[in-house]
Amino acid sequence: MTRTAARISMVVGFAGAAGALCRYFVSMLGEQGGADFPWSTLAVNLTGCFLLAFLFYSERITGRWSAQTRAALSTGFLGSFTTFSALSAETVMLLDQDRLWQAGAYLFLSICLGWLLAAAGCWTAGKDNARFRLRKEVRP
Amino acid sequence: MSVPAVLLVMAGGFAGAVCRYWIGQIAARFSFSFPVGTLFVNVLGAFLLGYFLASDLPEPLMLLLGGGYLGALTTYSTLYLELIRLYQDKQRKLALAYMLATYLLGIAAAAVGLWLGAR
Repeated sequence: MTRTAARISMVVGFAGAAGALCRYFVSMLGEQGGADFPWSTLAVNLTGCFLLAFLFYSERITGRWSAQTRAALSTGFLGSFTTFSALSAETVMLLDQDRLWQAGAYLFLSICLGWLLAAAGCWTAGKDNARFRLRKEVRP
Repeated sequence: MSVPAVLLVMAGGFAGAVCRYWIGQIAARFSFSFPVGTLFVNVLGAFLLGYFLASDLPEPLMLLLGGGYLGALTTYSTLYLELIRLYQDKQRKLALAYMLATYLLGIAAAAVGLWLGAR
């Protein structure tokens, strides 16, 4: 393993620890709220999905921030903040409790809103890129 | 909420993120037409979380392995970034196949894990 790879692993790891902790806090909030539908997983997943698409497509970010910083934020933080294992297990548990409508709604919302928010992140980045390029032309 | 809970989630999260990063790096060396690394971690993580949930692990272990490690090993944001990139590359059928494979295999894996863990 090269030194660069070792350093990126460390950076991704620490950012991943922070992402997992933030997800844990949101799930604690959900538990305190006493909801019996997995709203907290849905919330972290959709937020993370929007932010990752924005981060990836934004020229303001890709042009200025180093590859290492972007790896920390995307692969590390947002990758850990969002989760698929909880989504799958929660769906199966809802099915197991014969809450078919809720399992269906949870899957439907996860699938469709994920597309919507990823597209929204990409679209927001596109809008911001236009403004960013314009400013660069005025003030190079 | 106690301090150890925070540390357990963070320790698991650290390891999960590093494993996901390395599996992604290794998968990228093979030229598959879709992101197999993410598919692999998501399905594996869904199976293991189902297994751990059903096997009644003590709470600290569940925080370390479930909320920390497997939560971080699996990802939803990367899945959708990859989906939207495939869609924009005009590989719409592949995007649909990747999405269906992830959800079908992930849910089946979690179900098998829950079943095996409860035995």
